[in-house]
Amino acid sequence: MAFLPSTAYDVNYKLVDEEETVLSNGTINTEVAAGDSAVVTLDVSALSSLDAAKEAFIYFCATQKENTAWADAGYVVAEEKLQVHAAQKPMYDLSAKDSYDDLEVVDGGALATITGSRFKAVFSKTQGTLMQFTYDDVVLVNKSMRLNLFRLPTDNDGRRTETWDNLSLHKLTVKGTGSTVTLSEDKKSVTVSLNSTYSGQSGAVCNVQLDFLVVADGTMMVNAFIQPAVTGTILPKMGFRLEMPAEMEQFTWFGRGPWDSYVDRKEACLPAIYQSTVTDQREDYIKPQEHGTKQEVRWMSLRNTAGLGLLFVAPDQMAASAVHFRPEDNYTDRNNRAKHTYQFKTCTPTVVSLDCATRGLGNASCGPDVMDKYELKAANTHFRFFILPLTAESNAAQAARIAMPICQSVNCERQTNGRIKMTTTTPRGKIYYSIDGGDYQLYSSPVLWNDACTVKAYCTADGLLSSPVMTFNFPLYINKSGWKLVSVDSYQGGNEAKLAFDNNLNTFWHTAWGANEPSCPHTLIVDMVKIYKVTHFTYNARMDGNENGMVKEFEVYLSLDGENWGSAVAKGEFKKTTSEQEVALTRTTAGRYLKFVAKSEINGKAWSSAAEIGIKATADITVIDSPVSDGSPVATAYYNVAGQKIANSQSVNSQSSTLPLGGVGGGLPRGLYIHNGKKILKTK
Amino acid sequence: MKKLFFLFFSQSFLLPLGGVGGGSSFAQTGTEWDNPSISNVNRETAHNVSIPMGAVTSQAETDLSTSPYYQSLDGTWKFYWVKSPTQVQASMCAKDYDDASWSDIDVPSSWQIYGLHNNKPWDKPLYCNVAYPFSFNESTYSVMADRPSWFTYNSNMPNPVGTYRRTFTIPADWAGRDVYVRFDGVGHGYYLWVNGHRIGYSEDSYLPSEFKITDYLEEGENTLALQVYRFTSGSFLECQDYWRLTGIQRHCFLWSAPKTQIRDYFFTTTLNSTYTSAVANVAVSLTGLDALAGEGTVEVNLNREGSTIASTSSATSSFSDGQATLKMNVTSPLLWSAETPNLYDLVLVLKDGSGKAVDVRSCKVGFRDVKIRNDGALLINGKRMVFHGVNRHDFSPVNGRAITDEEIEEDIKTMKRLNVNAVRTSHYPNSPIFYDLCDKYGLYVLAEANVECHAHQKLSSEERFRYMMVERSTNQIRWHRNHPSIFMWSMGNESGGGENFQYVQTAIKALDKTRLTHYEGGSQYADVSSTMYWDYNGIKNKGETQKDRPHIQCENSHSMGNSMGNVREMFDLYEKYPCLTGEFIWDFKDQGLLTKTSNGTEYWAYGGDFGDNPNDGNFCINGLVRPDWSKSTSRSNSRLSIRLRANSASRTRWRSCPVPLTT
Repeated sequence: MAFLPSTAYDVNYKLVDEEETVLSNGTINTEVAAGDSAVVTLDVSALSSLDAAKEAFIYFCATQKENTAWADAGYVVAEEKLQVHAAQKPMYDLSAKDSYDDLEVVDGGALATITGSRFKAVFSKTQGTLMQFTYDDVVLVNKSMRLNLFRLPTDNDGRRTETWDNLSLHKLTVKGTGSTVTLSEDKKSVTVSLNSTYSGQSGAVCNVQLDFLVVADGTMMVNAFIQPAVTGTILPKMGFRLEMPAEMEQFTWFGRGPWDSYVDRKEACLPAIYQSTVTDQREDYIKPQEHGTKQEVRWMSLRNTAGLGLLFVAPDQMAASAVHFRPEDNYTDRNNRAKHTYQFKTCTPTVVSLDCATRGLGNASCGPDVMDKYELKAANTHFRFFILPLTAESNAAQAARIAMPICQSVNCERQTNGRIKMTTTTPRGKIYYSIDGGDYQLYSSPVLWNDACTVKAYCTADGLLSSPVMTFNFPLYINKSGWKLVSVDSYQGGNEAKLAFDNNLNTFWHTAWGANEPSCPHTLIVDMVKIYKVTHFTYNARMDGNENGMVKEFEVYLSLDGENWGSAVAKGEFKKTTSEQEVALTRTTAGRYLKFVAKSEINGKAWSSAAEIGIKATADITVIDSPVSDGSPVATAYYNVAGQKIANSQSVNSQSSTLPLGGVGGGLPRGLYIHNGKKILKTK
Repeated sequence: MKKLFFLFFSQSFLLPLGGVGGGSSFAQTGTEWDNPSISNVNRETAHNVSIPMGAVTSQAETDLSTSPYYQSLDGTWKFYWVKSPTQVQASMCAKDYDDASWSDIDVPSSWQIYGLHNNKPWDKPLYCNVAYPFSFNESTYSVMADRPSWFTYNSNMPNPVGTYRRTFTIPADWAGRDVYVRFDGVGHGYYLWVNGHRIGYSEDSYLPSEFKITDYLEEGENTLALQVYRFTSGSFLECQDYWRLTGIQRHCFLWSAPKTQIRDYFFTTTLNSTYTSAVANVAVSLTGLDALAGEGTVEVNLNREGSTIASTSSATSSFSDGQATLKMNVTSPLLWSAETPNLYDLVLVLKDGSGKAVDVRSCKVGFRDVKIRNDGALLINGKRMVFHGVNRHDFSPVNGRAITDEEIEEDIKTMKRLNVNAVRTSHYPNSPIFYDLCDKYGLYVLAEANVECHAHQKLSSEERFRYMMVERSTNQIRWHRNHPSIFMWSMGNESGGGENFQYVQTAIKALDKTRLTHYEGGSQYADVSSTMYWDYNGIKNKGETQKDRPHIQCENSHSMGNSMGNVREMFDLYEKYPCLTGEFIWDFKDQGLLTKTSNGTEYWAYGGDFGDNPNDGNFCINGLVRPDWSKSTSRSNSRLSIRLRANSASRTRWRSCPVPLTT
């Protein structure tokens, strides 16, 4: 404040645990002059007696000392709550299940049903998820737990809704693609692993793998892996949604509150345990839109008045909501949606959302869109949480003080240098991986494997159950960093053509604009240096919210010598979207030079732009020149009997004079190879 | 010089005065309403709002209705609506016209709102943003050009005109005094009749307009009539992004003054560098000095809580052409700021030769100054300002633009509760009571003139419209310049970058050197630079590079729906760089009009809901608070937060700094 000192207010603090038990409190009497700051020392020694599994905070509050014309004495002018102790939650005790009855499993064609002494869990294989959960004969989950990527668009979301509608985010359909159900030897737990694909009007949007560990006491540990078909697309949220009966109305959560909060708008929502009802979550924006989401949720419970219900626990934190509406009931598409509160459709069930990520709000209705750090861009995401039954005797906060005794799943990514990096967040976790069905081996450093391949990986660690097995498919590695620009007909300073193949979606090529700007068609020619057997062409439009230059009609050509192009190997029209667009070539074609012709712009303007262009290929085939006649060693490399180079020279330990048969570089097919200038024949 | 200019116009368009029933006063309605070169006829020059008090008091009285020389004209009037100027009849304004069959109407009210609530067959509320809801002739600027058929105001209803009538009597003790009628706001332009005499014409919907009617009064019952045009040449500058509403939308009243009166005064303060002493300057303007009995004096008293802090006086003989500036020294003045809104009572007394008080005027004043520091910071009373501001429209969900005094006060209280410390009068001046309340509660006011030609921004380069743009600023200054809460004058909004604004800047500075000027559409003309909705990188760059003058985000954090991301990041920038001064949120209140569906369900309406065209849908729903002040979760929890940075478990750095709009 510029004019009033701190002593114009009563400033108090208290040290509290997560259940608001006051550990100590006091008043801050230090006079801080207007516009100044001060360091204040507070006594927090009471923390030493705090249960390590509980969080603790210091809460500060400045209130009016006197009545003013607009508020009474005691009015809170400012408040803040800072965490001073993070919870160290104990592992969920797996041995507790031993005291429960054995589980019964009925594994049918479409459904798998697991029955315990007090619960029943029904899994749908056709939907790839949990469909129903009953405890003490009361149905607690009555609509299946499906992937949810949609929110009822806010006014600020308006720049993105066309992309979201094109992906059919509000009406994805799901198809189960495989499942396993395994009862443990001691019959006290069942592992259910379900794979599914979610699709929209343009095709697959996401693959999901859900691994449930169902324990005899009714606990379910969920490990989810969400794999978007196209990475980088801006999404409203990513998580799962299920429904509970209307009686599950008593809503308690430990997270930010009491109002809704978003990653870029949450400061006024202090972290605490809040009790409310699902009905009270309703916010009547004059034009109905997304509301009710809470950030930094450690756990949330939905119970009926008898205390029966479910507890959802995030091992760390998640975003979550419980509301009486479904976005898709109020939205046909961005031009057809509920316009006023009297048109807002609510629903009787409690709609529960658990989100691993949510998009910020930004200010795009008039102003800048979401800041980059608050954007949600589709990427492979692991998400885990508990679902635990609660009864009248349960203390939800206590029941939620558990960590998941399962290793975190492994994430595999191909780095820009082509190597496959495998990571897990489990401390001291060991990763085992297998390539193309081969034996599992221990991972130590990023794996060199340039070919297309299927990688399976899991993690183990002492004292924890192994993680589920994750499967990753990689295409042939295309090393763009060596690509060279041959020519481009036009570019604007700052948006050079090379930005269209720099592996960076935040930079883009844009043809010159302004007076005398050249119109479409625009042509960009790239030397890919290696020869590839190309199967697809990919195009990423600029992602900065501006449509200028987004390509509509296009043609793609390939050439082996940069001069003879033949007819177009792909042509058509791109859509107005920031998702990556992939186009299959009419025929797999070998080529070293790539010509991209942008024939028209999405809004009929003169320009062309591209954040990224690329290819997918089945093989990298660089033909050797005429054989060396003087016997001198060719560059270390492998060439097969047809004279085609199979692997990069760097992939081989150049000191070795023999071919590696396995391990790094992989097992090569039989054939004739040149290595270190020497001919080697591999017979098997 | 400007004054002479307008007098010239008034004289050359002096209206013929017939006697009662004389034919010439029922002549055709004039054409001034459709003439962009004429904004008013016979209107009094703008001056400070205060009117004579009944007696000398220590305390200033901001509520003019307490004066015996004030008579309200608010209430139920008669009203007759026609859809086009061709159907207007001046005979409806004759003294004895029989209006018994006419509709009632509340004054003040927006007639479209009154019509909506009372099922009248009049035009309905219309909301559009950038467009004019009318079309115009591009060379003559007539507002009666052909309209597209899909416009609400199309050829079937090109330009409604509302005729208002009521009667009044003058109190006996006003005999011998000059009588004025003042309308605090009528849109978009009106002709005034008293007892069948057409007195004059006025445009500018959001400043008071005043006419002297002494010579037209009669014994007993008098008749007042107005013909208010929906579209006038003033409409070109009233293209604000809000519900388009018209009528007598603010208070109106009669008041009387002695023949010699304190017509105008301007209070300013010059503070020393340590803010421990000040000179209070009062520029006084008297008229009618010839009528004063004997040698008069003007006495100026500066009081506070019943005590006189300072006073001075001057003989009227020392006034030159009716003007003089009186000065008083004040030691240790209590400064006015939004956090410490200390006010003083300024009381001026004109006495005649015998020492009798002839005219007493008063208003609340404050000691504060506004400066630019050498690193570009904006200082008030020597302290660097970071505004947690909001843009505020005059809007009530049930009353439209005719927002009541109580609703205005609730707006201000709500802002104070939300730790808002500044308000921009987007994009037109407010009722006088608004500034009184900002003085009292403590809000820094960016006072914006009624100038927005968003649909046709080249008007700022049209010389024909220059005088209109200038006078809308100079008149605002004359009516409201004694308010300590006003720290900066804004020349308008989204009206292009034409050189007309250079003339506005010059005219403002000629009248008031104590405040800064602002105009986002052309910062080159103003004292400060200004942007709207710039992002993080843009503002950061501005903060790093601008060192010579302050920068204001006059609109940002568009609070439409579930919104307002990254406010914290923006304020981190505003607090860090000296030239940055914070922001004004767009905007304070959702402009949702309370209405009902066909089966009686209440809801808040936005553009298009009344079949209005052109319309911009829900783009008027941008508020921190709902129309009824309830908070949306896009929250208005701006709190002066105690920012904390935990260094370790036992020590925290505690800094008082504003963290507004943490939601």
